[in-house]
Amino acid sequence: MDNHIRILREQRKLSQAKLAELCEVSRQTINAIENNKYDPSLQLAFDIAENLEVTVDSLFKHGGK
Amino acid sequence: MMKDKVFQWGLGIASLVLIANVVYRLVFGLVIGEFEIMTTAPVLIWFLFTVTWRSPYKKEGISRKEELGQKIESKSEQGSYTILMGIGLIGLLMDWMITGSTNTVLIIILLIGVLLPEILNYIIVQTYEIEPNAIGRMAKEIQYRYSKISRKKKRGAGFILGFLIVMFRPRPEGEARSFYDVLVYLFGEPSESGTDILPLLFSVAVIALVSYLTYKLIKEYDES
Repeated sequence: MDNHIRILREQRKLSQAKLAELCEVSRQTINAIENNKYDPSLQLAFDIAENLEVTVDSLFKHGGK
Repeated sequence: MMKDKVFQWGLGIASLVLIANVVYRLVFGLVIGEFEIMTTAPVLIWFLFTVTWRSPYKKEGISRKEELGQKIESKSEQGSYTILMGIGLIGLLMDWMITGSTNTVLIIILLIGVLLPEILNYIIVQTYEIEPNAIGRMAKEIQYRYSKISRKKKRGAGFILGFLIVMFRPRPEGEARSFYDVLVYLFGEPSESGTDILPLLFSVAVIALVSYLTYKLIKEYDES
């Protein structure tokens, strides 16, 4: 699923490493999510949303089926 | 960082030496016994673990415990299963082509390998049913009870089981080279009178080394 995480992260001037540290995952995980290689679990999606100070639904682009 | 690299290189070289020993034995038709397998496999596993996952020896990288790590592990397990089945099938065909007979044990293992995922699918689907049948209820109960056992206990049980298998395994006469054979090779046949101190000290040192390496590996896994 496409997402806006990279844009939101850059708006908040956070590096991938910093966001990864805040969410207690590796930098590779954040990179994989941003490049749509991997869809995060609900728990991780909530952690990312919380650290980017947005709601979970605003993280993702739902293009329909 | 330097220490991490030295450790990784050390493990890498140890793995290469042990693999070279197995290849040498294969090429020259020498016996590959449990001693070779029991020394090569753990070192190789540890080396691969260290270069793959984040650990005290590799600060940057994906941790085995985070969700991406678990997804990677799950993918690897699926891939390993497919490769293993393929190797089994090739082995069966080669056996048939070379000897003209088929290996019954291998056929049974392959058959179980094909059936097992379907059986597990059936059981797991039953656990998700709104009204599970007896098998589903039993599987749910087992899942629940298993989840209540701590990881420490599971690991301890695994070690005890492994230890018991190693200690009480069937030993066909003259088939497998064991640690005892290594002691005889290094220190000669045990004398009938008195205690040989050198083999004893060597055994204690090997047990201490294996215990220390196991402890480090567990600690590394916990900290990764």
